[in-house]
Amino acid sequence: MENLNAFYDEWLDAQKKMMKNWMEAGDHLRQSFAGATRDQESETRKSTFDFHETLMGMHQSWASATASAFEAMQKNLSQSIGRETLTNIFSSAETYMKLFEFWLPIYKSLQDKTLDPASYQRLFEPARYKEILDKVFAFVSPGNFKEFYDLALKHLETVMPFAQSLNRQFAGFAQSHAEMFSGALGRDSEAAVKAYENILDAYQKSLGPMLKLPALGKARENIELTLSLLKRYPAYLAQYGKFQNHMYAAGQKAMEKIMAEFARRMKDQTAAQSYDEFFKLWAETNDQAYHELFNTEEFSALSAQLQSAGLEIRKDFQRVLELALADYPLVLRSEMDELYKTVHELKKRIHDLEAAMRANATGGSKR
Amino acid sequence: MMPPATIFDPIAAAKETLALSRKLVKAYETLSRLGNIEVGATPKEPVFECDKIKLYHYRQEHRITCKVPVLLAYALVNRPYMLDLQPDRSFVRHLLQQGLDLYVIDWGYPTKADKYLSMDDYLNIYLNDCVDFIRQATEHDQVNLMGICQGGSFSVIYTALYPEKIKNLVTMVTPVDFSTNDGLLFRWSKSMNVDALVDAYGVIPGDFLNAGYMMLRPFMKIGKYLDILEALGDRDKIENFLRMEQWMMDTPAQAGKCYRQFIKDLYQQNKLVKGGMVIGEKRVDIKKITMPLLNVYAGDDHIVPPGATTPLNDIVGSADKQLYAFKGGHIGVFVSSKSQKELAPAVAKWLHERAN
Repeated sequence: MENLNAFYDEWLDAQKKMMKNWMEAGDHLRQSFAGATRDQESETRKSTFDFHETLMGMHQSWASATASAFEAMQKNLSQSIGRETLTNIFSSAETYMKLFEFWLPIYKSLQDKTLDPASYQRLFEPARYKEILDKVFAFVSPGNFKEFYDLALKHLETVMPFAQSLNRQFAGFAQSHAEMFSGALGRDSEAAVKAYENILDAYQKSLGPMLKLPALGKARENIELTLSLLKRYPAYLAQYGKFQNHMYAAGQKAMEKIMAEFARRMKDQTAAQSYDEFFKLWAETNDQAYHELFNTEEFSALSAQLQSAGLEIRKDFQRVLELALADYPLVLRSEMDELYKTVHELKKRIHDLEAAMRANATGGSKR
Repeated sequence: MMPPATIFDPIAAAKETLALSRKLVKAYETLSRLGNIEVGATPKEPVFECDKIKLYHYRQEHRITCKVPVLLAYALVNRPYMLDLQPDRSFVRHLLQQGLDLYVIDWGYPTKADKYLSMDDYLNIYLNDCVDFIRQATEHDQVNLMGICQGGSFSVIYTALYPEKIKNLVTMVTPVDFSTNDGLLFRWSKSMNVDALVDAYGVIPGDFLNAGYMMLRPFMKIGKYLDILEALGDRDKIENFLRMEQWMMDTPAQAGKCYRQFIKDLYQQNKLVKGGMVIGEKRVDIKKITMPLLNVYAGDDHIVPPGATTPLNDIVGSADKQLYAFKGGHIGVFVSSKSQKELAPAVAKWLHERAN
């Protein structure tokens, strides 16, 4: 326990030092604002943005210090429920801090009375707000999409070495689009569908003709399945982009509502005095906004389609794995399924026979 | 004095951040010093088992004043220790104090080998065997059946199939009319492609279900974990919090065949109300439920909204039927102080009055 104490004492000291620097910088900047008059408004506006940059830089170092310490902390916890809870606490704290970083310039601008539609647009950076929502909803990162393509194409090359050049032709195109799906396209569902059509087109021109090849024995099913996977994946990504688009739009709408409410409260001098109070307003408004979204038929259908598209990929992928393992002395999933089915049926028959025997023995009095 | 929030104070903001850092360290310190989190506080012993199913009998330290034994049937999707989370928050303990003789089914944790378990298996074999065991062990022809949440839907179906074995039926936060869209789970399940899900997984992972529950109120979840940082000095509060966390994360996988039928027949086709449900080879006729019915629902339930629970009283054949409105949410029914003080005694009283 002594080592443990030393560890987090050290961590907290580092945090304190960082906060001290922050406070000093904040103090300095505040002094420089003192005396700013209406005549100096444009200068104040400039200072506001400089000030934010300074604070945000410090805050980012807070986040990275926390993240690296968290991993070490987590390893020291023996109980799984403790680890899981700590993960959730840190993840929530990270969201809390990310929002703080995002909110600070807007809040300052509101106070300085420099917030107008143009400066709001400048301060509300969709890409940074998207990061907050990605964190809340645990959206998949572009890296995962790339990895999928890499794996699928490598597999295809293994089972069909002569197709390498065709694969690469498709791969380059598809990978760049996969990254785009979780980036800009994630916010524009129509563009996502268009991109999907482009990938499909590239697929048909490059890998598609392979399906017309004569039968190649067992390898053919393998190739067909892998190609089917590559074909299904953009369809899934298009759904994913559409889904994210709905989520981001709801988030942005909620944020606009929050800022309007916050501006009203500031005018009435009833606004939250601390960031913590602002955070509560943010969470409550978002909770309501997302409930409204989730409770629509459209969202329900969309999330079901997304789920189905993902499940189809999973099914194809499992079959590809089975084919790859078929020549090894391993029991395959489908073979185990047959066994499970047989055992289940036998158990049922035994149960029925035992029940019949008991009924005979007791004359059926109780059953 | 400055008017609120008209002056931005970077030092105050930095202090808020530092305070959060301190709390995170404190959270780590507190969690690392806690021992094992115990749940299921009341002593009980296994009396019957079949495959992964276990039937437990609670040790009764008080005089049994209600002769008819009570079987608790909890949902498959969560663990039954919600009813007995800790000594001072135990619905079970309060029922025992009221003189009931209690049994509970533990449905276990299905594995891949259980993918072919169907509603027929759960109802006509497992639940039926547990009921028969209790009938034989206690020498009673009938038992009281108390079904909770999905376990309540199972209990309703079972009672309709075997009305002669059930003396009184108690349902708690039990979905019966799935036509409602008041709860998000009801809306989402209607669009779900359950065939694709079961075909892909075989046995539906608990994590999949948890992800759905987490989506119900994702922003409140963040607030919950930040709020607990305020209670780090209070060991009891933290332990209580962790017990609840453990329960929420402890979601068993679901046998695919059973899950498929439950979603299709109930959430998507509402067969309990519309008719046409078949379990194994037995047709379910809800009008065959003619024994006394106590239907407990929670007014603020967002998991199983009142619109899904209360119609039960309109469709059964019972003459003696009662609706009990609990002021609270789905979980509060079992863990709130009101539940311990009011609901448990009310349920026990209702059963005592119908024991003969």
